[in-house]
Amino acid sequence: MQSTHGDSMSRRHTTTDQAEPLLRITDLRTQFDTDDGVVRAVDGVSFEVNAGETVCLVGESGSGKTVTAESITRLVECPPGEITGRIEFRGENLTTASAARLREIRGAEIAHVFQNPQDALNPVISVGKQVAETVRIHEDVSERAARKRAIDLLDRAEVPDPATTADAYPHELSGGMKQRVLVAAALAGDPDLLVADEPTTALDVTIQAQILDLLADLQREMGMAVLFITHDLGVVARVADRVVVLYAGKVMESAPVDSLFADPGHPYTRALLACLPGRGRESGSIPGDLPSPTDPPTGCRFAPRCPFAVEACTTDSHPSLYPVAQEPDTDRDGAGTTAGDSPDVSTPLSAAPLDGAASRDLETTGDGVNTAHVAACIFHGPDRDAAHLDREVSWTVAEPDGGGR
Amino acid sequence: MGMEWYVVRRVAWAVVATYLAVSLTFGLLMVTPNAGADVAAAQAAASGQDYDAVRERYLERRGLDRPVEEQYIDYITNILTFDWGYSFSQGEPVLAAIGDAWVYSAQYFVPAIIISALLGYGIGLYSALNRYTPTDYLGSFVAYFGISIPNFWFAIVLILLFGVVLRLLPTFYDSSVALLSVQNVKQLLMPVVVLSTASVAGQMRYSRAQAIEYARSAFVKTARAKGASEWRVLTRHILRVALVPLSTILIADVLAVLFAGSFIIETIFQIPGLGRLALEAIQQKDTPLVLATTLIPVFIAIIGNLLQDLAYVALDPRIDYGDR
Ligand code: SF4
Repeated sequence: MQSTHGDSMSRRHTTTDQAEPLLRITDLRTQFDTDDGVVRAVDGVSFEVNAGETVCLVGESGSGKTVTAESITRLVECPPGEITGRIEFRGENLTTASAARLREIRGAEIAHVFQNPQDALNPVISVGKQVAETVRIHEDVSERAARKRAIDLLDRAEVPDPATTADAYPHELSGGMKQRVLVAAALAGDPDLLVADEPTTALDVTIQAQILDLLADLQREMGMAVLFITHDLGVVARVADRVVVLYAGKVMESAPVDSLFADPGHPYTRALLACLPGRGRESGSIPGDLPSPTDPPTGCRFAPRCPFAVEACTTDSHPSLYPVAQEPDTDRDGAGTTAGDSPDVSTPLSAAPLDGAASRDLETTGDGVNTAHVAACIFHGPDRDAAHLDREVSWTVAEPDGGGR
Repeated sequence: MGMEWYVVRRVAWAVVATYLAVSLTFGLLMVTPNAGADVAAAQAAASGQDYDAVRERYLERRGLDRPVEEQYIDYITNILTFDWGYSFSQGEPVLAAIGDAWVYSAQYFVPAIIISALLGYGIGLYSALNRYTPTDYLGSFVAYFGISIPNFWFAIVLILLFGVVLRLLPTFYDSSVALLSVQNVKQLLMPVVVLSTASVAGQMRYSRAQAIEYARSAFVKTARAKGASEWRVLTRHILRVALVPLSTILIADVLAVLFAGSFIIETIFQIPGLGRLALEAIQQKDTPLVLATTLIPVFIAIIGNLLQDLAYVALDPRIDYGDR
């Protein structure tokens, strides 16, 4: 009822025409009351997703990317969890939306695909019924009609012999096939936004590529936006239009994918890139550990592991998002190596370098909101020399001499 | 193909288990001195007759002096033909005595099982979905209350309160009351409450733990992400999966309550049910009746197990029949 096919298609066109993004998250905070104290899993995250585009949320496990994704339609368990901030989906604030309204949105407008297809399907219900369930929740259709739709969707998700497979139980299917089933179930409501949380991580490499291709094809066909959560920069390079890098519950950097790979503005992003195979470091992880989730360090959360850290990094309040100087599409002054070169942009930012001010910063970057390359590092702030970010740091040896604590 | 074969094997195993249980009981009977013969002989000796002679005559009359194999074949035949002997303590055939007593037990344990299952699973599932709320804590409190207080003590307190002080309910069961009457409902009220309290707790805790496990599972999250309501998640997803192990505990519970809990309750409330019957049979050394009250629970347990396995077949498509 809520979103018939034609209805959402037309809506999608109008949203593309407007400047208003499909999803705008502003200063999102999701915290959990645990026995060990309050865990601020997401601590003032802001970003946007435009209709039809693919945004990747990147970070190590524990960075808050899954909690961010699951906060959007309040899938996180709330009593222990608490969500504040604004999550505007087509202008409607979901943080204050009623549970009933969220149920209308889930599946029909915002769909999810989760990480582990082994556990994400109910083991005692046939897969066809599980795909049909999405249809039946949102539309008043007969069981037979829903089944027909389910078979259709399984076919679109490239499940071989969909009519027979519909009657199979999850344990009879391979992992890749289960993920196809879950994709079919997610697309059954013809959503405008698909939140894909590490959809390929649990699969082996060839299957991973197939699922990524499938998602890309379906995204093109259906014109939906995808919020893609991953820790794998290889996947990011393949699917993203824009990238949001999270660390310890905060946005470290946000950039168009090309700009991010060509010119990472944040030391954490550099560290992540350095961990990519064939990019220097052999071992696949950044030295050091994630900060304590209940008691994060003041100042920059990456400071304990950052080879560029100076004293100001740990004493100042957390750095805001500053424009990264060498912006390929801004091209202010060719050589522009320091933020000081563009004081007209960075001066207003420095006025509010407080936690949570990131959202305002994003807005003050003006029409560049969706394309700008911003990073939350002191070296992109005013009066700081970002030039030394260009110096070569070998991440394997960086930690002992560089870690300014 | 695997499934039919599995069912056939389960049924065959049930038959074998029954046979073994029956034979084992026979073995025990053989090595136990015959209580009836001893009683008869003692009585005869008291009236001046020869102890051993009377005893032998007693055994002879019942065919107990014959070779073991012969007796064994007889015994099996009798059980198969439902000729379970005569209970001297009740003054009627064993099966008739059990048939009479069963009605009294069923009157309170059937409602108690239904109430405790509905209440136990209801509270458990509700608590699981509303964790850390006052209602959840209240549920846990009720559960611990039910588990901690002894049955007999709770029964006596209830009798004192509602029977003696308030005079609202009869203090004991009167078997002359008509089955379908208000009076009968009133006198069953306390036994039902005591019995349900005891098993509600277990079922509540179990179903809560189960439901919490499934409420956190990925497939429930998938269902929520599709827009499923809490009710739909509970009934179509959590219950559907949880039903498999829950059916197990329910059957186990029925059996436990039926043959253990009822001893105490039937004694306190003076209900002439199966528990009392079994107790009297033992006290009065009424061998055929003891045999029947021992074997029937065994049969029920075996049948219950079989039903449970068949329920698994119906409820859980994951069962790998090859392994079982
Ligand atoms: S703010 Fe300081 S510690 Fe943080 S990333 Fe930048 S240089 Fe490193």
